[in-house]
Amino acid sequence: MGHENSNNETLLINRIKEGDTIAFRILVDKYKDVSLSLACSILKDKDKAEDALQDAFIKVFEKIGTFGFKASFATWLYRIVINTSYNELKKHKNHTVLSQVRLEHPEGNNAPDLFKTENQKKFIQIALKRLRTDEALILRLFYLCELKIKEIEKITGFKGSKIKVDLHRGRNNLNHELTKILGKEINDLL
Amino acid sequence: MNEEKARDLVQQSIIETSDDFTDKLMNRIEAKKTTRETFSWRFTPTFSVLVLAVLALSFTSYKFLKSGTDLFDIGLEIGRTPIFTIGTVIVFLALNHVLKLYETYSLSKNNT
Repeated sequence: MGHENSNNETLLINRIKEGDTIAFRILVDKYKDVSLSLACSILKDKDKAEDALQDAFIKVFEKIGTFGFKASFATWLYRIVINTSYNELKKHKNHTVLSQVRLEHPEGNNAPDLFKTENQKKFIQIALKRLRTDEALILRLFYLCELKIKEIEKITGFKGSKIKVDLHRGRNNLNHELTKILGKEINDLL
Repeated sequence: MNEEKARDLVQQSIIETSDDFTDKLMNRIEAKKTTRETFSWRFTPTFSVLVLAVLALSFTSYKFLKSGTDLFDIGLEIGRTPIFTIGTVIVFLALNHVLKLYETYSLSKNNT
């Protein structure tokens, strides 16, 4: 199945190289949500992250001719998304004050059902937003994109030792932030 | 928090793009393609005319220097000044047009 997906993706990329925008659209729809999550790790603001992601995908379309299948397309794409996001961060010098994020903390009888509602996702996103950029990015690259340490090294330029340390710290800090947000309900989550 | 739980939580945190994200992106890409094509078909003939004009002016200058004002040995006396002036004006007009085209193309590339 994995091999079949890889072949399908290769066919799509070859069509994009010939200027097929329909094939490009299929690829965008496949990777856009994960890519946005990575951009949000850096920019902490969904609107800015979407703008940066648009720019990144345009770069991908323009540079697709240079993609030589030496690494996976996902690795190549994520590197462009991350570099574009960091460039945007430098331009805007984003200092989102995270304490201004309002949390809808459910009260009363509905509290035990917290984790079964849409808010669960939102609280996790908020907790990740409160992490340091590097930690949030590495957590997503490792757990969301399911990349190996070596691949994360190539994409980010971080050393393997830093990635391992940030993974460990990121997990602890995610736990800490979720505890701050959810209080005792964190036990149901974990 | 163990690894498995961390994986589960982070995978749940995936952020979805706006509904019109892909449409907006594809519109931007189409706009860029159109700008590039328009620039290409206007730039090429204009640049070709410019090159020909420069060659013609150079050839004419050479003939003037060699054979005086009796251009092409046809017995027609043409003053040097009008020929040089007209030729120079044509070259500069064509050059100006090429630069304007390039400037418009660069501006639209930065805006999309």
